[in-house]
Amino acid sequence: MVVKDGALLANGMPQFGAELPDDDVEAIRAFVADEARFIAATK
Amino acid sequence: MKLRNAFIIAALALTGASAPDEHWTSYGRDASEQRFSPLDQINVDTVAQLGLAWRFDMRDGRGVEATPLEVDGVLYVTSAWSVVYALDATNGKPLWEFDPAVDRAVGARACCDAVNRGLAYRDGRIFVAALDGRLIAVDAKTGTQIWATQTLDGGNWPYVITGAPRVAGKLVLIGNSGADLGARGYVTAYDTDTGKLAWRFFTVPGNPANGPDHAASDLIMAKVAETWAGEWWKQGGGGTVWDSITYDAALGQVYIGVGNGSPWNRQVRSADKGDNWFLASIVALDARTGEYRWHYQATPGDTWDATATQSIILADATVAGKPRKVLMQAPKNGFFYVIDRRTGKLLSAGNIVPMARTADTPKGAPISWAYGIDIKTGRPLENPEARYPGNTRVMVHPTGMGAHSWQPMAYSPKTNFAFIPAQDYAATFQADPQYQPIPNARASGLMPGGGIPQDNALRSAIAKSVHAKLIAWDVAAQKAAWTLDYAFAGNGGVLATNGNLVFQSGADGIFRAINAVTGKLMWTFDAQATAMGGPITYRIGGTQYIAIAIGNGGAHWLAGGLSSPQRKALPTGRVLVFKLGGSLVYDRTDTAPDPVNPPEPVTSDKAVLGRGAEKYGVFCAACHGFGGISGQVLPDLRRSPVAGDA
Ligand code: HEC
Repeated sequence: MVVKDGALLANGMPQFGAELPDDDVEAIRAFVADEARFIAATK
Repeated sequence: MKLRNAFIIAALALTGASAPDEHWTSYGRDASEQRFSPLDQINVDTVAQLGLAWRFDMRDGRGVEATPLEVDGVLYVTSAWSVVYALDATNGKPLWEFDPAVDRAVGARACCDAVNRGLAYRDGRIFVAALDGRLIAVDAKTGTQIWATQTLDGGNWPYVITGAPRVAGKLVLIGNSGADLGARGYVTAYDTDTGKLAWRFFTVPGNPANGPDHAASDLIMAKVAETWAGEWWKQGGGGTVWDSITYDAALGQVYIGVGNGSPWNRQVRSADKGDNWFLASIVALDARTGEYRWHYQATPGDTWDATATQSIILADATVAGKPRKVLMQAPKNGFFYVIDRRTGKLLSAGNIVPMARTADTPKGAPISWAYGIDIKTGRPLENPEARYPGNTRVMVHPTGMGAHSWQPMAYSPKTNFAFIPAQDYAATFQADPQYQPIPNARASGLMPGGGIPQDNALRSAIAKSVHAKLIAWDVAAQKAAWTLDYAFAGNGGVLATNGNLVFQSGADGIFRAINAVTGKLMWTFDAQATAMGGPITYRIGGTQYIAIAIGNGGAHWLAGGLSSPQRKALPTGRVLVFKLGGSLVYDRTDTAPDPVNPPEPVTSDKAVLGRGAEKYGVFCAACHGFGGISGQVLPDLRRSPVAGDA
């Protein structure tokens, strides 16, 4: 939604198209989740 | 190591068209851009009584990079999205507001936040450059628009404007940003009365197939093109004039500070050849016609994002017994330059951060791009390894966020010190042989970086390695007189006063007054956010005021979460104004970061996580923070309730 469909474009969050295929978005999501788990675990 | 020529520069004095003592009528107070005020009611003896006089809250919470102006009792300031506020400078009462109604989607192509650094003033008119490229003249009394002109007609690139316009005689000048995403730089002068274009100067050559630009730069462009190779025009070449422009009324010249190459990597940009004029240079132009006079290139053949857009300060100096008109600059590349304004000749240089030959650099430490300057030729003495030839991967410093970024430095003719908000960022460089330009991504030509190791000790060591400090630079000696160390990078611009004080706001949100001679901390105020632009001072009815515009944001806060305090930005930008005996209570706002609700792991597959880190680095990090570590201005995706289904 946010990343591919430009749901927040009107707030200055870019819309990503062909340059970012779905599996890359999925990989980014995995990376972000991993970082979130890291900071939650080390607090 | 210290370098300088045999000349002694001494007894620098105030220069340029000076504003009446009590006001602050242009970006750097007056045309000299010294940011030195002759006011001295607030001084080393009285500063302990300094307190908050009034406060004004802006409407928006994105980054505030503005240096305010004060003209005839009115304080003018900008917030994010180029909104202008006019306030009674004695009490903060709003007089008018001018909102150029920038389409927020423009923010998506801004490398470094929707910020605005400030305004120009002439003859009852305020000039603002909007993020979307319009230059607008506004009636200083009423806030009504007088004229507006779109300045981004110099090519089809993702330009935005964040800089402050400057007045040069009857003209108002503005450049633009975009070289980090691919753009061709230029600066344009407009008539202050009518908004009519007077001249334009392109800083890098265009595609030869397109013929001349019909611009003031045409006269020199054939020579400029000889310093380029390959198909440099494909990503614009870069060289945007996104910050510094200084007007020299005495010599009828303007000096423009020119930015980095697009893409960064010269191997891709210019077949690894040539100096690539006028990247990373100061260029002197005829103020009336825009014709080239001379240039000094601080970083020939830039390949490290080494912009020379930083503050250009004018002063009169005695060099080897002779009066000289000089300018000084501390660009990103780590050196401090003193240049003769008539000829463009380098008079002296020194390094403001430690620079060494590769052979003298401890193993594992970042290497310096250069270890000195040859004073005869004015050229840097480079460490060749720093150009990351072939497939090499090297950590180089300083770079990117600079030894000194745009946060304005100040200069006091009283002490002959320049006060530089400095830091020493290193970055890893490795050429990407398969590089293809991608829309919405950095035009670097480099292999993408990955995540930051999940090791808190290492993370805090990396953050500390940035060594942020305020440097009082003795210009004659080309060495630091004193330094004040900061725990975080991203500290604000500087004000120097005749009260023997310098004022600077830290990334920790604390506003400080420091003894200009000794570096001793004299006074602090916890503003809870940073004044990234410079503080200003003015006097009305016998009272001296100090004003700051605060609000975290901009390149450092968006990308550099690792070296920022993990504290959320205030809900809106603010103006805080101080005077002796000021007693307004400053209530506290909770700036703790949002809680983390750790999601279920998506995968533990290292290859997928690695690819995610890499793609995040290319597409998301500039706004949401390198390594996923946010500066807490835009959403921290690790703490976002919606990132899971984004
Ligand atoms: C040019 C800057 C910029 C870039 C680059 C960018 N974003 Fe954003 N992003 C924003 C802004 C601004 C917002 C906040 C919009 C708002 O306030 O509604 C945002 C919001 C988001 C949100 C919503 C978060 C929340 O809690 O509301 C997600 C998810 C997100 N971005 C993901 C990404 C991803 C993934 C990438 C890279 C593929 C990316 N963004 C790249 C600027 C950017």
